Amino acid sequence: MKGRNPIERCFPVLLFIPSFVVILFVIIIPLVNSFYLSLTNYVLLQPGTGKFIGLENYVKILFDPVFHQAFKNTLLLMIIAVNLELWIGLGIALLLYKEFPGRGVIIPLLVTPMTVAPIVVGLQFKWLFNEVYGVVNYILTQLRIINEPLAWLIQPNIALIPILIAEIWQWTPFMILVMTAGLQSVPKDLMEAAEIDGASALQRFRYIIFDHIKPILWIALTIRSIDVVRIFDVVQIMTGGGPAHATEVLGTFIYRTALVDRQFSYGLAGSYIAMLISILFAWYLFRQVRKVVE
Amino acid sequence: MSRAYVLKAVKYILIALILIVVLFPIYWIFLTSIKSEKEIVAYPPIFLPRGLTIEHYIHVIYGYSGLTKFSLFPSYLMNSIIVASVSTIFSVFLALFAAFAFSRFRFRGRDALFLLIIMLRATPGIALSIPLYIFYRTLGLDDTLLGLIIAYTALNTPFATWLLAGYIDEIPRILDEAAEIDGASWWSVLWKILVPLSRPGILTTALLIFVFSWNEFPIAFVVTSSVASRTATVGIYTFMQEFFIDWGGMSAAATFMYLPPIILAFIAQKALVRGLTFGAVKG
Repeated sequence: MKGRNPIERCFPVLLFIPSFVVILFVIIIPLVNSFYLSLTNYVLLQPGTGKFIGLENYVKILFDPVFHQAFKNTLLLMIIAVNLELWIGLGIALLLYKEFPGRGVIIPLLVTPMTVAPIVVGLQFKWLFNEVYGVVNYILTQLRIINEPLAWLIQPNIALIPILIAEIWQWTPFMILVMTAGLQSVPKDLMEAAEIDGASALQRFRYIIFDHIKPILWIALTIRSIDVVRIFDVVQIMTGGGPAHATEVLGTFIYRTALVDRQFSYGLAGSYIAMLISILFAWYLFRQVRKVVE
Repeated sequence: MSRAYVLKAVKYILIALILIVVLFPIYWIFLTSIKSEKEIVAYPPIFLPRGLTIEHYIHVIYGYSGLTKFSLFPSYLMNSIIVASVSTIFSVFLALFAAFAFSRFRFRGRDALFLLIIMLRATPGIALSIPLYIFYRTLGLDDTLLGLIIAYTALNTPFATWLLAGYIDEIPRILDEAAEIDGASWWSVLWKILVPLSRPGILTTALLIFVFSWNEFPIAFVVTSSVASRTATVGIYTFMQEFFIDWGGMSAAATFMYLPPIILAFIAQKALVRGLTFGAVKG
């Protein structure tokens, strides 16, 4: 399919121009521009700043204990949340595997959390974990799991738990949905044959289902891991990174330094480090996925 | 009572429990939005209220008498609707062109597109929002609806392109080749054949992008600063800072936010799987 005249030949390239212009304008130019700013000592709304200082901000941030805390928390959330989501999601997907009356309604109901705005999810859980009127405290004291109502979002040593639960509530449905799609790819006749041959449910899971869904499992794991690195909305509305940086994540760190403390160039340096970490991480995981899929 | 029967019962009970856990937070916010002030702050919490009220909705829509003359939330909602719908239309149009090129012409660029999507997906929104804010301030685009519309269009277009290219790939090439032999231009192949045939894909992609924009927080949070462009997610956040004890009002505001996402969950689950796994899982 070759174009017949020069205009036709250029046509495919012309098709990209509008998208390219918008992306250049919103993503590339600002990123290049502020990369330069991150190499200066620019402070928001303070004239006379903006002197070139090279990599000073980057060096400083690597030794910043708050940044370490943010990095640690982001990693911790990622490891715990993604693993729990994966196994709970897989369990639920297996439960929903066989056709039964009502399945068609139950799946969309179970999927709803992942489409809700993270800011609203944060609001929900902030209310559920409220230290005075919260339902969570009520239920846990009734079940005698805790003796006294806990100040979930105020006590530094437990403040990460409500955030973790909000994250798991919102994203386990993603795993359910992806696993359900994956389970459909398991050949039905293979399962039936194994059942007739007397393979136990566990054996069928291990040798047939798990083998078939492994690539999808990896993809889901990768996507969710990348997502957690970006976590911001839920934390910002629930704790703002507090108390005393106990729930600080990369997102809240960047926001606070750049816009609250007005250390613009310093916050930008944080942004670029966060971007670098996530992109390298994404790249690594996708390479792993490719290996598993092939 | 056979063993199979017991197993089935256990399964249904488990599913019911899971449903309760999943839906409870949403139910609880909705319930809070229609409870009286007194029942909201009752302890133990009231699971089935005696009387219902719409006063919180009135507060959210018309404001509190005494505190402020009118509420800003309806304007925030309006901003969200405008920004999400206009940017969705732009993204889908731009993406259709690019997807068409990816799907119907030989390109090496497809890997590059995927890389761009992954990079965008991996970039924290807040990390992108600060550079954007500086840039917008110099152009006077900060705190404008147009600024947000352009930002969301740019962020969603690569993703929409990827999805739409997947849908167009599924249309047999023979159809557009036949049309081309009959003398149709590429332009009319796109609009008369490919677009009508991929309409369900286009609609679900649009719905997905709409909800992404509707739910977006970090960029709107940084780039907007007043009612001129503040969207509903930012509205809820500021509401929380200013009226942090008014759980009824906040819940009423949140209830408005649920509508588009719930519609999405019900009519486009398949697109959700496909969309959120970048087409890796067809759903």
